[in-house]
Amino acid sequence: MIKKVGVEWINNYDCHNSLSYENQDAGGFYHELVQHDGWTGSFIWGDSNAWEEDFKRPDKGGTADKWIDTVDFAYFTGHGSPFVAAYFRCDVPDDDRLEADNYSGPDNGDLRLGKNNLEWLAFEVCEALAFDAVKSGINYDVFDRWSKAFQGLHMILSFTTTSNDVATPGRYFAAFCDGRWPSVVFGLPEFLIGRFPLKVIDSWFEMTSCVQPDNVISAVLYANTAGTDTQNDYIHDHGHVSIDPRPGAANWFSWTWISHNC
Amino acid sequence: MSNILIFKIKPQRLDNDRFIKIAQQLGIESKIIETEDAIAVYDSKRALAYAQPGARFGGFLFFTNQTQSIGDLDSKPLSTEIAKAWTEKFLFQHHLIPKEPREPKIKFQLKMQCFSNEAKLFDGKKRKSQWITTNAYSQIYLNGILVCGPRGRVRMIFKNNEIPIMIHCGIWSEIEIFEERELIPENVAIESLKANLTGRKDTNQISDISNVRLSYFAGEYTGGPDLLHPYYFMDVEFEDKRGKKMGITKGIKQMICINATK
Repeated sequence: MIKKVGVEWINNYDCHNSLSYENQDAGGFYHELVQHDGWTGSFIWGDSNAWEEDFKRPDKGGTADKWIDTVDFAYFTGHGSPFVAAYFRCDVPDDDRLEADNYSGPDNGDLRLGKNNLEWLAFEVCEALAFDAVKSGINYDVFDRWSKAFQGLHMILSFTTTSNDVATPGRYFAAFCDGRWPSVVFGLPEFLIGRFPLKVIDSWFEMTSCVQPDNVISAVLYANTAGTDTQNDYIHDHGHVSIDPRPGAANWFSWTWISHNC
Repeated sequence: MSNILIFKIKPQRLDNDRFIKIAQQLGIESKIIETEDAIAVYDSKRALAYAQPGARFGGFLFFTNQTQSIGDLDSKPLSTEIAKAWTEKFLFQHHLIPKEPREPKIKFQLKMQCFSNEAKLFDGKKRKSQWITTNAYSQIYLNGILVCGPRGRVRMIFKNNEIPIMIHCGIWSEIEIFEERELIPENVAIESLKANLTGRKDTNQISDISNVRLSYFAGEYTGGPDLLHPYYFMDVEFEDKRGKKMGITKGIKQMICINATK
């Protein structure tokens, strides 16, 4: 099986405040998996080459079917907010924001993912998975905003609060996932210790404890239906991976949101 | 103008015997792997590692038990009282709490707290909450100022068993005063940040600065004296005109960390 990874990052915003370490953050994730775990690197787009349409559903004019939804694991780092999972530069196709449902319309969200391939999507950004968010005096919770994104997608990983702009999250997260954390975090040679992979959720939470200050809360939103158990997912070749939770495949479908104090 | 202390910390070197005792209590009885940088042990489902002094994460003890998933909903978590008692006993029994500082000017305080963490579930119609884990977390203070970061925190995640499924225990053993510096007052730090950001062509107008907290950050060790340095962490909100038009009053937030001393 070919396992594919794709990442996008933005430091040099032209219409939002600039960031500093996103290239190292996303690059760390990408290179850990590609150089040390046999993944095929599909794309690593940064700044002006990182486009919102790469994530956007085709029926809204996006090209997610040609980019994000062709890989197994995607990672974005830059700015985010409760109604916008990722902010891009304003001079890229087709706009600067990857919007949630109920942002410009109840069913107008940009994300409809997993129809093709994508299992896991990490937004290393501020607040995208805040449980509650208010627009025009009405509260839209995390399910109102992101549940329709799950069309086979297993989980979204992000933060409910702001998070500090640092260089290491991507590399540590990937190393917890592929089991190389004893080498990457603790400095033990891999030939001595081997690998000990963690589940994707555990990896995300522990990574956030390894890099963020207090007051930061990370979160995961995952979907399940009959016969699936996405909460137990490891990345490919390191343990169990649930079959894709497809809406309509059974008479029930559910989403679960959990958080972790870093 | 007031002064603030900069501390020099020294993590403890964990010898084989003590590490084995910790491993045994956590149910791992395998061969220890040891280098100058770290010591580790694992079996098919559990792993324990400790970063020795001088390593990037010196003083960090990490344990994971992959038999259960943090995201599993089908268990009844442990009571907070039992989790707190186990955590305190574990830290005390294995001498993982720092030694009493020799210098009277250093006031050290470690508070352990516990809470039941709940998942939020949505089935397409109804929302419900379900307890998912019991979490223990530390609040460490030096002279009344919070210490945060991966080498200044204790986090334990319990499911329905007295032994946690995840331990993150990053803490020093000895501490001394390195030097005393002039503290930049909070209002001066905020004004200076505003002055730096205002008028930059790539920066939107600051609409709010909130959640300002002075903390020592126990981050990765990068060589030289192992120092605890104070920073102001703050959430800076930038105006988002497009979001405002959609009815979202909150702008795009970013955490900014600035040096708190001159």
